[in-house]
Amino acid sequence: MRRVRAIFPIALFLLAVTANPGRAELFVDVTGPNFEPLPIAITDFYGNDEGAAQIGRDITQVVTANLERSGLFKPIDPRAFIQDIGSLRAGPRFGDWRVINSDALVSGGVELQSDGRLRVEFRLWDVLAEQQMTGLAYVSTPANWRRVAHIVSDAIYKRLTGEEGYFDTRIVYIAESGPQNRRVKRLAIMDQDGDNHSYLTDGSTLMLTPRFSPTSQEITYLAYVNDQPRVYLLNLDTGQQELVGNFPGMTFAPRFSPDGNKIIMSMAEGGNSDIYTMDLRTRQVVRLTNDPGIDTSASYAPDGRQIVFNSDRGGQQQLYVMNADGTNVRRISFGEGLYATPVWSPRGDLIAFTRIHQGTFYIGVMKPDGSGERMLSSGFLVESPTWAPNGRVLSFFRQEPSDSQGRVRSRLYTIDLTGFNEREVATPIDASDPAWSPLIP
Amino acid sequence: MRLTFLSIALSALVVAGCETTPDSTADQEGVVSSEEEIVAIQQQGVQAVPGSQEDLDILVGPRVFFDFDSSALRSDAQATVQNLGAWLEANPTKRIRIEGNTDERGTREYNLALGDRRAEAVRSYLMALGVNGNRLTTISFGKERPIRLGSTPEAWAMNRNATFVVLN
Amino acid sequence: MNPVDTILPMRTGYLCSFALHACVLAVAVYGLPLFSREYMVQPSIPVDLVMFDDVKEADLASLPEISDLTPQDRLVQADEIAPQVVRPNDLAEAVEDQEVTELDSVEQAERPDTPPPDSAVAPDPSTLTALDDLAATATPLTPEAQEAEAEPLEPVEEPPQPPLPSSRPETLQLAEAAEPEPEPEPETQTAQQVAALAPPMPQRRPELPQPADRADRNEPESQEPNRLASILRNVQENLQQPQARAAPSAAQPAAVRQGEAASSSRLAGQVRRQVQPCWNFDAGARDPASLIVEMRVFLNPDGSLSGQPEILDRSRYLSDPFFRSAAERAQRAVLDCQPFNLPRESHSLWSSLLIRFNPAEAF
Repeated sequence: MRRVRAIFPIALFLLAVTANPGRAELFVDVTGPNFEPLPIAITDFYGNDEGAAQIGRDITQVVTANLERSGLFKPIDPRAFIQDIGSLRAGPRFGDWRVINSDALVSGGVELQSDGRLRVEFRLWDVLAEQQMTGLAYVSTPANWRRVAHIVSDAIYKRLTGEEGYFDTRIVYIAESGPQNRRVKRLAIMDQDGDNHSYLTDGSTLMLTPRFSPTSQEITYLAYVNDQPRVYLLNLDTGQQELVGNFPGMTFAPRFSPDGNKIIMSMAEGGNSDIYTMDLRTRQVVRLTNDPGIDTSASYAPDGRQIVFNSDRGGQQQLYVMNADGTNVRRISFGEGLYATPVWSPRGDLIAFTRIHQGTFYIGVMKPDGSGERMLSSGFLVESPTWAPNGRVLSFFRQEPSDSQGRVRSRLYTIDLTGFNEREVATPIDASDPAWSPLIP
Repeated sequence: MRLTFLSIALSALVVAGCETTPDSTADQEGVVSSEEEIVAIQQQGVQAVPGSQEDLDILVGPRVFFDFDSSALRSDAQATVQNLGAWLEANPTKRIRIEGNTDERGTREYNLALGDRRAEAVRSYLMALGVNGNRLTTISFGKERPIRLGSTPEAWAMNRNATFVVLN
Repeated sequence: MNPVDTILPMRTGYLCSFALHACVLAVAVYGLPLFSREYMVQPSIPVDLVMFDDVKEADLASLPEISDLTPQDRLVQADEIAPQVVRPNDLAEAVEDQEVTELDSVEQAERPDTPPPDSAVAPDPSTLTALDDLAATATPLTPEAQEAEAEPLEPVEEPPQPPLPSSRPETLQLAEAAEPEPEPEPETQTAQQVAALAPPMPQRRPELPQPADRADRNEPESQEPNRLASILRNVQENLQQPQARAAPSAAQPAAVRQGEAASSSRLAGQVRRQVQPCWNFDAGARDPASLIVEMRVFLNPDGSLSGQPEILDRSRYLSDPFFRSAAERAQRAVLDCQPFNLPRESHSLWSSLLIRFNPAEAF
């Protein structure tokens, strides 16, 4: 009897333990996300005097423009801000920022130190969670404020997307002017937002297709020196130019290997173009293709183990992938039309290319196995995609048909890998053959 | 004297008129930018200096043309190259450079290779005809040196060419 | 018979019974440790005011002269040196630009306004790898630090300081509460849970309109019409992706007793419909299928959030910046769209949510 009575509370105990509806979870499966840009409030960086305050406003402007241009962020109009910068220094009133529908907040300060250097700090706040997400500070020369602004932009971008940024980068390209049959082409370089522009050559020598080294401040390109088209190397720091290798025929279409140690390029000999690499340290030359077709426009995968290139060995220009030693060549493009200028994304997941079909040019991407082909942009002539170092954004150039006087317009564009947010890049004159630098070290 | 001059001029004009002029099809041959120049020279009765560029342009033609994305020498092109071989034999000290060009309807790097192929096609044919290869250099300009302005099929057809340049 | 001998066994019985009943009540109120809520994941605490060390001294004096370069340094043979087509002026301009891009390092001692370390919260293994070693001395700004504990709040000395607790709005309770806010509720629920075998059917309340700002926020502004339909744009029509707008999948029935299955799925649908408009995802993210985020959310009877959303995969949250970014977007969706409009009388059914954000179908 006693035993029976003892069991009863035990049974109740077990019942309460196993069936605990107070802690039952309702499972909700949410699919179908939206893809709206993240609303972000970027306040003027505070300055302790007018000079610093002006730099603060300039930095804010650059950061705002960078984030807006990426297409992933939507900076909120500063006229809607409720909390002022002064009180913000003591901390955000998150309610003020939530009420204007801001998900994130950037606050910062600029100080011109007594030693003449510039100190910039910023904090990124999560408005909804009401906490700081990141806070960093930088010191540099005052004249360098623009680069600091790009670095700040990258830090914000990375914290909110998980991806490396791409704002502290440069673009080298060919600046063009004049009519078609007397086109002057100069090597030029600028920040990715178009600022800080300068010409590197005077146009007396024809130069084409520059590419940036992923590891050093060097550019490789094709130049017609003494009527001999060859691949050259230019050191941006020293200004030194040097011929790459000692090849008997035209070398062209150069790229760097991911470790920066090799140049991969094509050489034309006897009417046949094949792909070679040259190690910049050992000067050793390795031939990677050996067939009668035109093999060119080789581009390494970011792990350096594979190469995508352009070949007409099958009759028409198509894309092929091979191992870095030249073995296991296989075709990956099977769509209609001609495929050219392949560039492997630094993120590794996509290959961008130019496609020509029925008189229209396209910039497209596909996965390295050839699947998932998508066209991002099209036009009379769009060509020569290049990836930003985070593999999220492409730049290419777009050329309009020329008129009977040979006047032609050619401009650089950027576009997101999703195919949205295509924008023209401001250049002083016409532009082609863009090449994106890595993040500036 | 005047009559002789006039008859020469007239015959020159007739000859000039007999040159096939560019039409809108892809099969094109004939001169373009130097055509006016040639007519002007002939009108003035000035004989081109043998072995000069003008001489080559008049007697042979400055270039041959190609089909889209092709480096094959068409029969008309072959005829021109044969004339070129003869000219080179007649001017044994002359060296020429063959410049390969393409139209703008392709990508830059591939077109550099294609221009090289076109120049090489002419060179190989000349060597097969017996011309010493040492006298023939090639260079490709890809799509960088159009000779006909505008983005029309006519212009593109003209720009797909291999041009002969006398070097010495 | 000895009265003591009679009473003792009875007392033991009563004691046992009392103890076990107390256990039952305790379990009902506080939950077994086995089933207690998962440790609340603190979002990775960012480092505070860390110096970004970036030395870039392009000291021209130390750059190699051309004549100093050995063959190993890629100097070409003399007969191949290309003439300097680059004008010195142009390059001087370029090189000068290089000069001004230096960034110097700064000693940490220079930072007087760094808030002192907060002993209450251990520094989080931040994903900011280069700055980790300075994390130990930085103050993470956590809701806990903002809230009840007074010690970490130093007096405001200099610009940027941790936010003052008075700045927190009243409406949003982000305090990490050990139990749901309204205290009397659990008691009532306990009684219901223990006694009932079948819950009363929740009465349907008319759906209140969504808060206006939600609709405003998510209104696509002058986007291409197929932005939502084809997430990854393809300009060529005949290669266009099929309409990828995923229909909301039916919520799986919650793990509650049978009689509640239908209402649970209805509730899940209500929650889904209210969360989804606030959920934004990065269309260019790599491998979206791997960025499925699951989180636990606790709601007060008025539909507001109780505590912070808890990401289930904590280790991945701390180690994978892409996952963290996706998780933060999912958290934002919940924070943004709460309070949720749900029938109050069935609060027991939706007080604890397990929400899975799955972007894969949209790609």
